[in-house]
Amino acid sequence: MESGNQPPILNDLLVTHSIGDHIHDTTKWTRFLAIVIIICLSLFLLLVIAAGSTIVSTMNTAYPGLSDMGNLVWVIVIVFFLVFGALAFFLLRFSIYARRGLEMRNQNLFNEGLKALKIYFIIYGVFLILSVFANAFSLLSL
Amino acid sequence: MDNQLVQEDLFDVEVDSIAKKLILDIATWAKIVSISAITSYGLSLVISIFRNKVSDGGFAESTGQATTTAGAFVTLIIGIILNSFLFTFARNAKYGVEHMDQGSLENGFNKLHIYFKIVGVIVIIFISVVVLLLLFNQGI
Repeated sequence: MESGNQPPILNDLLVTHSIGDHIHDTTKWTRFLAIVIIICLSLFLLLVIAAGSTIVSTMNTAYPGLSDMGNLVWVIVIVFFLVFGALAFFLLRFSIYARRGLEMRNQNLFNEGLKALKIYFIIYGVFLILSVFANAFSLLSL
Repeated sequence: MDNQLVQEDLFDVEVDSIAKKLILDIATWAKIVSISAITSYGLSLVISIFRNKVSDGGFAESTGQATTTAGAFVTLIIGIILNSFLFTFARNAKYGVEHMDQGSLENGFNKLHIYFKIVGVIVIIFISVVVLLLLFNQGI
């Protein structure tokens, strides 16, 4: 682990220009990712609205068992929208608040940004844990 | 003079008690995310290898399964590299906050920046490939 690199007059952790630059660069990429997710979700939503019934009927023909599952497909689609929508929302919130917090030297805004990043990682973490369980279940059922 | 230089090097934002708690929580969940992601990619690879073995279809099916396995392997390699940055961020940020080590905290945020940068570049490459495929298909 790195050795201590404390500014000599300070006894508490501070956001140095170096840390601020890293967070500033991070917010640029998280904003880009959030916008890409929002665009992809919007395109997907348009596709569902425009050709949703056609896709469902085609899938029912291709996979007859799917029609027995009733509205399960729609529930999965809605959950997918909610999860990725929330991920995009909190990434965007982190990028806006953390950046403003640094630029305006506002502690509360900076903390709000960190809070949004925390919620993003919680949602993503829970989603990944569920995907691990789904993969494990899929492996056992082989 | 020294004090002035140090002060100039700082934002007026500090890592207060609330920020410290938030960074510790972020580090905990980032660690969970990195471990879960690598586990998930690993399981996907194992599943595709098992399906490849179980499959007794023709040439087309075997080729398809082999492509899936290769894809899962590449995903695992990229996933390990990518998530190692997230894991390092989590470790350094936690150490930095717990031991009041400015250097570790700085290194941690640098790793977080690299993590999101790699994700962004992967997304740009993916979008470029999709656009090229769409253009190529339209051309044909």
